[in-house]
Amino acid sequence: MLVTICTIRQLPQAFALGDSVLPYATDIDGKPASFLIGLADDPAHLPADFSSPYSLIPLSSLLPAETLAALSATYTPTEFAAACKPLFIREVFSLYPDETRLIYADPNILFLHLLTTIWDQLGENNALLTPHITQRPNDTAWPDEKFFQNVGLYSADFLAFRRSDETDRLLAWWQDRAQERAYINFCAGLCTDQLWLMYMPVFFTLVQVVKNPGWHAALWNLPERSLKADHSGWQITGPTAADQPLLFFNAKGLFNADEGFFPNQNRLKLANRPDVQALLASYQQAVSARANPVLSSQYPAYGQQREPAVLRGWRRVTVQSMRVVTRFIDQVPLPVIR
Amino acid sequence: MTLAFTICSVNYLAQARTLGDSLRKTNPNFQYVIGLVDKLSQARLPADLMPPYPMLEVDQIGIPDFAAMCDRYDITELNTAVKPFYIDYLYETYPDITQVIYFDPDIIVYQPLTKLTQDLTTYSLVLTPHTCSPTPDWERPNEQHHLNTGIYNLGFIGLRRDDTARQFVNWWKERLVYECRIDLCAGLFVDQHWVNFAPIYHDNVLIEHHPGYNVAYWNLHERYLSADEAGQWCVNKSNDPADLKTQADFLQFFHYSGYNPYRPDEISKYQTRYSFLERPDTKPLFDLYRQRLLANYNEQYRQYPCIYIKPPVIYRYQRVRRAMKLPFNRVIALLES
Repeated sequence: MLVTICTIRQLPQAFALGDSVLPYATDIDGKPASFLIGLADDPAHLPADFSSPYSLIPLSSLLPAETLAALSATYTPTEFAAACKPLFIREVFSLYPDETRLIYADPNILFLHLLTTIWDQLGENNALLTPHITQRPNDTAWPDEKFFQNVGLYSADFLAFRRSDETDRLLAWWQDRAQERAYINFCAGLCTDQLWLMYMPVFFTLVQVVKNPGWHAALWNLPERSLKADHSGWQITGPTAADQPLLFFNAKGLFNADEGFFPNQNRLKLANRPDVQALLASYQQAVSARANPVLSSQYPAYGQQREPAVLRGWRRVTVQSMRVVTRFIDQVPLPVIR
Repeated sequence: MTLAFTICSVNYLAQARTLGDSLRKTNPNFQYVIGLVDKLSQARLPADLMPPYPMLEVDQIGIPDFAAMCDRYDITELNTAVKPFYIDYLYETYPDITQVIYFDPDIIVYQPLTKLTQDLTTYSLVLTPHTCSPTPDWERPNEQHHLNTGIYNLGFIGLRRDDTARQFVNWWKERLVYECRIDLCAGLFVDQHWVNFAPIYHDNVLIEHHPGYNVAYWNLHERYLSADEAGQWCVNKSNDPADLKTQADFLQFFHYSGYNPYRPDEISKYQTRYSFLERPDTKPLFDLYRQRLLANYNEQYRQYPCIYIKPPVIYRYQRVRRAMKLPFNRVIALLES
């Protein structure tokens, strides 16, 4: 089964994700795969006449009221949704005892190919992870490798799990860490639920890191990959393999430039990438089929801390210059006055 | 042929000699070299303090613009930054070696490293995670610390001579020329944090889970020590007496990081989790180490100041600096709100 977590304003994207899976979504047994949305928002804020095409589970129904209030008060909306992810995945496994395999996908993801490859890979493993990048960036653009270390080398936007005792242990550990420590605070070694993934291949058995370029094409790795469309769909070439079918694409940071960890990235230049433009256009089309301005204007109810502002243009240049000045003041040698 | 090496300054030669002695006893077929971040011509060691192992001075291994590197880095950063440069130099200078193993000087090898040398016939790199299982509490060090400083401990790395390992070393060298600093907020922790990328960029990397490798304060929660009838040290994943005999593996090498032989009641200055009262199983290993260090002239070596050491930079007038920054910080806060 496939699950996602989103706020009310992301629901059109979550629906597009669900729609994208339908044509390809046979489960491991050949049945149509089910799709479930975890709502990281207050269901009371849904419009009165709203009906969801896919099953919705409000995360608020999985958490005791005081925990919900505490998490909401301490986190930003992004951190809140991340903090609830392991809990949600565990709950889905327990609510659907017949489901043996589960894919978590961010609402910015669109599936473009049969899920068979993913189910097959999961057949032998407990969990699957995808790295942000699979080779060193050969430039001085941003994000650099140091920033990938800050946010974690694996993306938490796509994860797959096979039901097993080891997976139960993995999810219990991850929930224990991520629910309380999903802050974005690089100096403290924290970054949502994502940085914790660094331990999964070390602590748990059969956690596979999938480096195939067809898995999880996104803003952060498209500079190392190239796309072409043919009659059978999108083909992708990357550092680890050529002409692979593109299984899924993550539009985070491309669809909404302020979303994600890389709003100021300057490596991928859309103007030079007609392949990415075409892929993004098909994503935008999929979301516009589900567009709903009432949903999109809803501010998230949970996560009362303010998201950090994304600075662009003169504001960003000014802040950067002022930081240079303050660093200089910190480090300039001052003579000792006696 | 396998070459093992360490890197240290003269003040740590007792440690490097203790490591060398342990290798000579357990792995006599290894060649052992001490990379010296110091100058013998300045130290002028008396004959009895000259280690019975070859020493390679850091200014002799052809690090490009080494003087600038010395200016940039403090002594910790410099000692770690030169690691891949040494590895590369060893590859180039000893054409017969097929495997290079780096050990921090404060390590003792307890067994013939047959698994490691065998693994290095198939894998390009062998790395040891700080801990192979979750840490039991939030004492120091815990999982969050390693997220900032590196999942793998770079007191040890095994490398085969092959293209993958050479590519990795070249990339590592490039990074450490300027970015072997400690700046956790910027994702930097000397040479160690960078190595998180090794299993991502390369396929042929072994993440070693053997409990006898790189046993140290950061993984004592998952490793319990005992000696068998023959006096061989063993590591057990549990301290349940019922498991002691059945699940033990031989201790391969112990890393005495942060141990001070003059404070023999402390496991490490970097940890807060255990005292010897709670972990009496580890005490004999530390007592043995203390004995060996003292026998290897630790008292004499520690007196030698490293010639690459610089006086620490002290930024005076913090209040004045804060006042000068105030208007800039106000504008930054305004723009970011």
